[in-house]
Amino acid sequence: MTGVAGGSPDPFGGTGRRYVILGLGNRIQGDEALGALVVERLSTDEAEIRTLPDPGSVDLVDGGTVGLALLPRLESVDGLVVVDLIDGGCPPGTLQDLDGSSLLRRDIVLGVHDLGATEILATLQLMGAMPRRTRIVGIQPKLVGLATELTPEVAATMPELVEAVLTHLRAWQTEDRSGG
Amino acid sequence: MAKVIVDPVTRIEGHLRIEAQVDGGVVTDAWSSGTMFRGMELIVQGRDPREAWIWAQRICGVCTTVHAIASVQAVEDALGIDPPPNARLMRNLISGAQYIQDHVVHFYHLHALDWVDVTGALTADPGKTADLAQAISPWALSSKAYFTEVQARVKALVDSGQLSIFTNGYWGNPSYKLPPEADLMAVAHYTEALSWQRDVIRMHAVLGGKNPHPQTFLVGGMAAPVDPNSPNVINPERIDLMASLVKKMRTFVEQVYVPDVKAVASFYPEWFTYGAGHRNYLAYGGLPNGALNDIANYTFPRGIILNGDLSTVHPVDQAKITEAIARSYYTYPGGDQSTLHPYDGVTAPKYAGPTPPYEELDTANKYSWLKSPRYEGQVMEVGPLARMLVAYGSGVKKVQDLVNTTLQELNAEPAALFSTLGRVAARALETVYLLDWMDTWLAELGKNMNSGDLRTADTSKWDPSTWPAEAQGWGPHEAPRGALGHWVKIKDQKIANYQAVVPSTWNAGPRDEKGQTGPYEASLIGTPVAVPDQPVEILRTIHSFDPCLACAVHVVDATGAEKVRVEVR
Repeated sequence: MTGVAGGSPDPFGGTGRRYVILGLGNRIQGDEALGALVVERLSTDEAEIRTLPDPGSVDLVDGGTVGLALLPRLESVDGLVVVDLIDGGCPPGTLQDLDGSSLLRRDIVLGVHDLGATEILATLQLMGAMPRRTRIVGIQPKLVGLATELTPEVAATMPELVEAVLTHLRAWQTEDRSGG
Repeated sequence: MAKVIVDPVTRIEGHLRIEAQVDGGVVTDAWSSGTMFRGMELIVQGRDPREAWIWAQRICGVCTTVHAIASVQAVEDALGIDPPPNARLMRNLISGAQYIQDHVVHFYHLHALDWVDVTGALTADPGKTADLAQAISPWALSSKAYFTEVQARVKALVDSGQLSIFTNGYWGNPSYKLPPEADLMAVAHYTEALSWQRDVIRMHAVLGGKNPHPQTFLVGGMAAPVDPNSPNVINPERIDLMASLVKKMRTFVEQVYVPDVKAVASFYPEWFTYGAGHRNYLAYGGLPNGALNDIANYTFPRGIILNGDLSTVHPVDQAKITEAIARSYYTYPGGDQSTLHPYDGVTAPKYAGPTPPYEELDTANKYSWLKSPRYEGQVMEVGPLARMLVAYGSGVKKVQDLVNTTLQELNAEPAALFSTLGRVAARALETVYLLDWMDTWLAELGKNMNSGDLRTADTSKWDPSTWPAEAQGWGPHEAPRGALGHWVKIKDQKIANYQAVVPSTWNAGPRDEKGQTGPYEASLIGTPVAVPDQPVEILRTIHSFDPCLACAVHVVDATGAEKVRVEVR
């Protein structure tokens, strides 16, 4: 599939493993932009991705609003990190880091994308194409409404969020390299 | 007496709200509201008309291509340009692929769950499911082992407590009539269609460089070179690839989609009697097989059917199209009772609804972001049913054969077409009708290429200095969801006015200045509702139109309520 913003699947020469960072977000909806901004940050400056053991196998996907068209890039990958707003009833700016299967049960993602993280995961499960591992990493929003900037609370948590995303990938890639 | 509110209605995509009055288990009145503002017209104002399609195409991310085609055609009409045959063929191939993919996705992913109880699949006997599947189709994925595996996946999903993709299904509702085996078969095909649709839409990547939103459209033709001796353009290898995609389309449509539609329809015969509405149908026609304005050679003929009378197809004069705003959140210079032709259309938003969060719309006054398009003041339904009826009435032999055969199989009269299931059937038959055209267009493209006709664009009027000081044009197209028109006025080489009247505005628009209900509203009246807080029957009829409100209304609302909210009072 083409047409989704983000890096090419294999810019550094990969190992055959496939990992995806999927950012879900809408850039004119305040904190809703979060997922898209994380993917933009990682694609613009590759330095952070290059700290991973296997940077070439990471596919950065700005999910936009393309919904079902995202599926081919997610089917049966070795690891998927979804970055999205997470409404867990916490104070704004709180980092949240959930296992994909817990999300399937909790249905607490908030968003105005056409197809949210829960729907995408449920569809993959029904297709028998769930990623081997899935994490949903996000921040409790303060404002979802017409605005082109993150609120200060959410913006301040961004570095911590990016590190949380990379930590998962680092652990998975290390495990897979050692024959996991 | 209960007021049933469904908001939003569309599955996966869109922003539509229906309020329905239910008395004694039957809908007695209904209001259809687009809950978001689009405003694309304001964005293209003052821009170069040659780039309008790039903006207009972004009206929707599901039904891509259609707004680009309508837009380039409007500018071509204004400037008197006729694209060369190869451009027409490539546009038709892109359109045909869009229809075929979109109709299958609509049936399985946006509509089937109104008829199929996913939880019913859990109690199915996989062996009997295999018997059923093999009885109605030669499709290969039909073994007992396969259905056992699919059933296990559905069970895992249900056990996880997450049926979010199936959010607005009303599991266990008494109006579900399929046997569990048919439920399981349909769910299996739901998942197969997910993989199929992403494969076949590669046609858009081949011809358009990418999907969604192909990038090769051009005022005057297509920016996709055709050359048998070049590796990176449309060449014999690409044509072979596209032929294999069309074959893949055909196999799934003929062996899965159409048999499933017929199987589902056979368990719901009463739905050939509900959901008609006004029985006026409009098709602009489109997918030309000759010059752009040679309407006699359109794949889909142009015309109007009035009051369900198939014996007469009335001509269409675009000058008779108007839009009303009496019940819409807009103002016109001439006041709320005035109507305007799209050339003189005005997009002046003025919200007049209740302050959110609200319980009910003010349906006695203005209640929608959609305008109310009318033809000579009359309400018109657009879409696959309108296209098939106009083609049938116009004497298109192939359509007549398809329709007559299907009616015989279902033991139904032509009047059965004016119904909820009539729309579903028309969409499936139209898909079959287009498969042969896809083969024809591909063959023609190959023939032109081999005979040395490599033209893909007429650029003689590309330079704005060749344009008149003022010009206007309309781009009629048939999108999968129905008649789509873009109107453009050009002055001093810039867009002086632009209006898009989209299919879902025709169908989902509110009442007009005379109080006439829109097609959705009229189609719901008389619909039975067994359980008012599970209005699956309302969804059946509304979904049969294939609502995609992204194009009718656009720009996102506040804290998007993604879940269907059903309120009963």
